[in-house]
Amino acid sequence: MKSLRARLFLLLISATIAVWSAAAIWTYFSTRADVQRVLDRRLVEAAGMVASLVKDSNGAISRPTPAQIASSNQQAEYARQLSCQIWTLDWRLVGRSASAPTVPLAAQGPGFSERSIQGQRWRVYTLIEPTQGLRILVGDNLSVRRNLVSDVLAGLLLPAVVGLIALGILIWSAIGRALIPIHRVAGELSTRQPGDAAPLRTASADIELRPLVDAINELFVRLEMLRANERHFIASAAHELQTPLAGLKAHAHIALTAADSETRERSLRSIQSSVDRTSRLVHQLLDLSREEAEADSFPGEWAGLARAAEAVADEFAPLLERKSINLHIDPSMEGLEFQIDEAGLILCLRNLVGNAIEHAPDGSTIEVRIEETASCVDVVVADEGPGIPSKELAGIKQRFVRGSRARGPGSGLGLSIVELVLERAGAELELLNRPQSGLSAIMRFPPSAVRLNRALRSS
Amino acid sequence: MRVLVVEDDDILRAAVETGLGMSGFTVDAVETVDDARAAFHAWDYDAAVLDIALPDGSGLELLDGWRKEGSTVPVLMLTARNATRDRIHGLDCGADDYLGKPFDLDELAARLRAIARRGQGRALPTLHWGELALDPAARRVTLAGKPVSLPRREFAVLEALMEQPEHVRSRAQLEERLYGWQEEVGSNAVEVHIHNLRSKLGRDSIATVRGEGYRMGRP
Repeated sequence: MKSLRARLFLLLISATIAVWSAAAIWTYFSTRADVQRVLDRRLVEAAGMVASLVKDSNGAISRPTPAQIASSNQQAEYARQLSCQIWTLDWRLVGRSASAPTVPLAAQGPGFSERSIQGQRWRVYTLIEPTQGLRILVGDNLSVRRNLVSDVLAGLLLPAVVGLIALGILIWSAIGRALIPIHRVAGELSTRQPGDAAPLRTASADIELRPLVDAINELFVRLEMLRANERHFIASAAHELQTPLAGLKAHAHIALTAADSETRERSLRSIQSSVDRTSRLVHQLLDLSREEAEADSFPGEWAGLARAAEAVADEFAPLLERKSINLHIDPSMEGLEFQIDEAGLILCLRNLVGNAIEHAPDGSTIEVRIEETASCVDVVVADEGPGIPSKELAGIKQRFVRGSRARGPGSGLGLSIVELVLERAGAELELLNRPQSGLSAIMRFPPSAVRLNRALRSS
Repeated sequence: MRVLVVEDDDILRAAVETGLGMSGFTVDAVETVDDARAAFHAWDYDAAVLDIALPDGSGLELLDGWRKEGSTVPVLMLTARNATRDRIHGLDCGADDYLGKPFDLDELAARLRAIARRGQGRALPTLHWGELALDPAARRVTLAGKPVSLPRREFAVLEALMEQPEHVRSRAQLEERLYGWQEEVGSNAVEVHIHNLRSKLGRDSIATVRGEGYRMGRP
């Protein structure tokens, strides 16, 4: 499991270790250089001191006692490691300190040099005293110098390690404290009732958390709206189902109790058509909820209008024949494609043509045609029925609303479904009473959602 | 009893019309608020059944209009909006009873009889006059304890007269009770029913008030 706390801790602690290590390496090198310089200077001073002692004795002390040399650095911890040799210019050993080897510490002329003697590495300063004819060699054992540097470093490293552990503990608990607001939000969310859509307490949220809290609150608002819609929809659907159910129940009662067979038969037939109507209502409710669920998805596909219109005409063929209605599909729509899913386009046409057939008088004509203007492309379904009273036009598209001239087994959902499908495609539904008589149901598409597919036209 | 039924669903309207007819009601069934208003002003009803959601308006507005005009006709709301607050609202708007869909036809008939009875200021479900007793629910008439078999329309005439036995009912009023507006009324239909009732219940059971109509005879 990924943990924010562990990740933050690892990041901080490894950054700290990296910085401290860099600092330690830097310290090591600079300390080594400093130690080198200081000790080199000591070698020079020690050599100078020996030379001046030799000179002051003015030859009387031809062999300065090693004690003299050693005593000058007696206090220093590393004094025993500081070795001194006094040679004549022709390499005759005049004197040496106790710790000094008997072989010359250095072979070269004046200045610094390094040399290995019996496995020990020495750093040596050679001073030539021409007046006395002496060669003064003062040397440091390099392993001592190394110990000095590592002692400094060890003295530095131990507190660093202890500090790092302390820092780790502090960082760990500090991160824990810093993450408390997140836990608070999480706690608030986890104890929340499913139905509770009240916003989280943003007042207590830190700046960094606020976008998260705001996003969650926004989600709550959207979910609440969705839920309210759904509640409303379910209530309306249940409500709409009550009426056909009441009809069914009442007719069943009549069929069971009526004395004369004619009444019984009429009731049974009513039961049959009531079941048809109820199943149509259920179908439309399903269409509507499906369309609602997809309301946010923009259709990327293109559907041929002529093909959809033909499909709908086929569906209604028996009904059209029974009412001897002529469904005229304008051939100019051949090849026109609309940016909408084909099922949706067929659903729209089915509802609009179905409505038209419902209201069209026997023997009349229903037209499906295209009307193009600069700003839009209209797909018009026009009938010769009674139209819709103008005061009802505004509300007729609402769910479960049926006009006062409604006939047949409608649910009052068809236009809502059409509107939902069209909305998704960026189109809209307009209803207009025709000048003489009848209704034009117009699906108004933006020109960008319409294209001409020549391949379709030629076929 | 003549009842106005306002319901926009064809199938349910037909069912209520048939079902209440079978229970002995004379039913006028209409689909819209406009038709209901017209019918209500043209005829006298003993009760009305109203749906709320109608194509051209609300049944509650219709009811409100009637109550403001001073009508006391008992009204039963018959609607799918059956939440408690809908029922409270309906009753407070002046409805006398409330029945949610789907419903039982017998219950609807019983509730209509009850609110009509209360509307007439009666508490007893059966009607009595002298030795004559009429049970509107069971559609049974007894004379001195012995059952008398009456066809539907004769029963309706007797019921109309017994509701207010000392009031005179005109021939037109009785015709209204007997026939829905779509039914053909025979020119002397009421006279024929009265004649038949007298022959079954006794000559003096129903009195003729010359030039006015009929009422129950002195017991």
